[in-house]
Amino acid sequence: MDSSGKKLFYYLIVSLAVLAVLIMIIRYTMIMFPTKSQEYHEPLVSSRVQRGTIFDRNGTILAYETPYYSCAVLLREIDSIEKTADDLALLTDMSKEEILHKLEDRSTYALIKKRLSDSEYQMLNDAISNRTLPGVTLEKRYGRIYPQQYHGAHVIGFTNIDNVGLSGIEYTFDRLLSPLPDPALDTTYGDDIYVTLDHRIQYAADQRCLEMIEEHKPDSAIILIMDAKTGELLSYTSYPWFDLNNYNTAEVEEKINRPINSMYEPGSVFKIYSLAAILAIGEARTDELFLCDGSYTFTMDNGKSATINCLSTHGEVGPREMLKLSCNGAVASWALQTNDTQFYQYLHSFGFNEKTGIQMPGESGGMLQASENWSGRSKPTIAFGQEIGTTALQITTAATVFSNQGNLLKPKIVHAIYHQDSETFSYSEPEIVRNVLSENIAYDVLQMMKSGTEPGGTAIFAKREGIEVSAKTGTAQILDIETNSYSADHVLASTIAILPADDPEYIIYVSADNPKGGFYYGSRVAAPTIEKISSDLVSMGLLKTDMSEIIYISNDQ
Amino acid sequence: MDRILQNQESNRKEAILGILLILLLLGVGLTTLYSASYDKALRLGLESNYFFRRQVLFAILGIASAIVIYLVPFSFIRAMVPVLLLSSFTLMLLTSLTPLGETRLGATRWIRFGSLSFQPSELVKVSVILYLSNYLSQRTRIIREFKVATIAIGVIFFSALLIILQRDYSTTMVFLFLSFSILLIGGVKITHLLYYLLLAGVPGVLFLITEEYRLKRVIGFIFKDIDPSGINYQVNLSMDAIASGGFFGKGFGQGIYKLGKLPEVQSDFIFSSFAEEFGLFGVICIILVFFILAYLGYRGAARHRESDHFLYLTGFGITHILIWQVLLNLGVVSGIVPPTGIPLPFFSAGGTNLLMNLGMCGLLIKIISQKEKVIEKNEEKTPQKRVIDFE
Repeated sequence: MDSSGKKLFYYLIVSLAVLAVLIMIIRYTMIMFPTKSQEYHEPLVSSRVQRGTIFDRNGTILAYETPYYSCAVLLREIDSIEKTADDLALLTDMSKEEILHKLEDRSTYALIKKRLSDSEYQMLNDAISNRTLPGVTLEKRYGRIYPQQYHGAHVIGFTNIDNVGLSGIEYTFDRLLSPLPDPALDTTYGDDIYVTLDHRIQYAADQRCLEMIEEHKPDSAIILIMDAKTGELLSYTSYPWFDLNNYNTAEVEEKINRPINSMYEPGSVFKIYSLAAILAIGEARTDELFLCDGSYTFTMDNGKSATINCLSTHGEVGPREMLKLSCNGAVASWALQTNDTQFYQYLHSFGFNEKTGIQMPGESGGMLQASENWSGRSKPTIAFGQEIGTTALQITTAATVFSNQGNLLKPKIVHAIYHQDSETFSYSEPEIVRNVLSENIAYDVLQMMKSGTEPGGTAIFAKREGIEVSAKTGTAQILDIETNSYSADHVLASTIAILPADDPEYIIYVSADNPKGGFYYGSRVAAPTIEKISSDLVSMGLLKTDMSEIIYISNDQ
Repeated sequence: MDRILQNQESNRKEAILGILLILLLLGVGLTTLYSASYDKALRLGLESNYFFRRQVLFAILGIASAIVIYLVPFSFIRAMVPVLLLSSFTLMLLTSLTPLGETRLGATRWIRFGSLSFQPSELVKVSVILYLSNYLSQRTRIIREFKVATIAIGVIFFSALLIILQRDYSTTMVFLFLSFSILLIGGVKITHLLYYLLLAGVPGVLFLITEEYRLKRVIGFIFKDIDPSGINYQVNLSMDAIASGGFFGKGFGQGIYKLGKLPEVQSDFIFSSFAEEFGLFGVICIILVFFILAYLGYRGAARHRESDHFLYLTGFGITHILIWQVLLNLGVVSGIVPPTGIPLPFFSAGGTNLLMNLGMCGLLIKIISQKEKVIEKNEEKTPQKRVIDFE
């Protein structure tokens, strides 16, 4: 029994080995000659995708993909973690502790630094080719470079370390820029996107924005420049901004895409839209001059009375003077003579209380209460741009109604897309959302707006010599969330301009939140910036001045 | 007498066949290593023949030690067993507990002698097998007593603990499997083994689930789709390489997976490169060569079953170590065994492993060629014994 037992185990164990040998042979045969269902497919992700380039409308590069190098350590090849960490700490800008931290807990492979700087790459590459750094490898990867840094940052957006778009165009058009890999190709190329921005205008606007920041010290600022005839955004400034190449160190404040994300009460700028609505409805007696004595008191439906103040005594005010002087009383009185529902519908048809549908993430639709919910004060208050939440883009886009015979355009951020597969361009076409006003009223309001830049007008500083500018300023009171009342010293200064007034080419909207530089009126803070930007457009040859300008220059010589 | 002479003749033939097979494997192994590792060496900034040169050095050392082992008498080897065991324990402790140990990849498993580093856990495997063979063969009469099992298992567990200290879990598992096989065929009562296995099994499982990466490896193996590019990355690539080989392979030196695609191509995954270049034909040839070698080993050992228990157990143990290293490595490479760091004997870069394998082969050849002692109980004092002695 004893001996036979031993023999039994012996044969058992030996047969186990024989069995394992047989299994192994079968296994290798199966791997090498798989049946169809077991065929091993190369995963699609192994094919490289070259993310498409983002250009401005003229072909200036805003974002492109470049190779870069990562540093990794193959732990099996190194003699000592300590020594490798010491060496790497010398050659990179990382500390020994950081490197050790990345090396610990790994058994085969540890990524030390994802993106090496040129000098780090150079030094490491030299050290590796001199064989002084065993186990350290450099790996080529691909990532985004944004040559324009902060210019247009909020439009362009950025990608994460895995090349996935996280904001702006990079996010909205991620699939187009970075399509699924085509297994038939070594490299799949993503489509190129030409955004509507004009880098020259963007640069000028950003410079002017900085000047405004310097002088008036607002918390934040927005400058939007739109092509008045197509709705294309030519420049898009949201301050504070950030360098796209270092998006991961940017503050949250800097990453907010204010023109579409931030909703605020626009203030007197809004009067152009309420006046247009009042004129279109035609119930208000705008032909009778309103007498402004510095305040306007009216009786609400519930019998109580309310008072609306003006900045000064404006005297006799018609629609044109109302815009010129920004008379709250006049527009409030006309609003009161106008039907609630129609007033709401007109404002809504200007695009307020709805998203513009711009191709960027996180757009706010603004806020305008339906007329049923209005209090007795609401209508006159809305008429001069309080008690309504809008985005800067809504305000800017609504102005296309005046430059397009009463038609509201859809704002555009993509100018063209280059399709890699068909090697063709597709261009964006101007898109009319709806007809808002009759051509006459649109024209009339635009002409009335010119009064703003006439002597005595609030927007006088927005006028550049030689150009007819239709403009309206605004100094909105900002609701203090803590006290739920309008703050005494926190205002939002803004100005909208449509120019040239007779044949509009540009809509420029400038706003500065909480200016602290002494002035706080829109006329003083925002309007001069419009004048400067118009001058820039003239000097770039993008805006013609009238003959007097040319004569003026020739006289000067 | 005729029968014995005949046996003697066939013993010698088998030993020569064994030597030829070992040399064949060594030759193919070194060639494959050079082919598979030159690109890797260059990528690491080393000379192209870096791995190959080291391996050849150890091969020469190994052959020399095999010859020495073949020449010394068994009585000396048996006398040396406790010394070997103690010194391997000492080396293990020195490696784990003193600064003499060299740390690579976060594990301290090497000890340095001059310019060569040495992995004592490889030595532990062999010395424990030798010790068990010696210990059990001296106690054939009382082998079924609990005390014998306890001491043998005590030595095994202590050694396993030393290997665990070095965080070398796969080697521990293989080691436990091998040494328990020895106990089984050595005649230790199976119930005794089961007691101790249960005793060790519960903490073992706890141990497995307490450290995340161990569990991850096992999970990654069982559920292959969870993380295709992570845990099973190497194995997927390896299977891809094997699959691309086809029946006759791409031809020697024509493989592409060794050129940076396969991690660890010079060590654990060398066989995938071999399979890619030599195809199913080459794979079956190598498996068969290993199998024949194992057959010779098992047969050579079994021949001594009744006559010399030490030779029987040692021969069996050595063959067992060799063949299961091969089987486990092939299993890992082809994805039917969870990824472990088991090298392929004679192929994978690794000096200590090659040295130990060649040393064991020396002993195995000695056992195969050893003539049987005929001390059958009934005919203990027959003239036949004298005849053999005479020779």
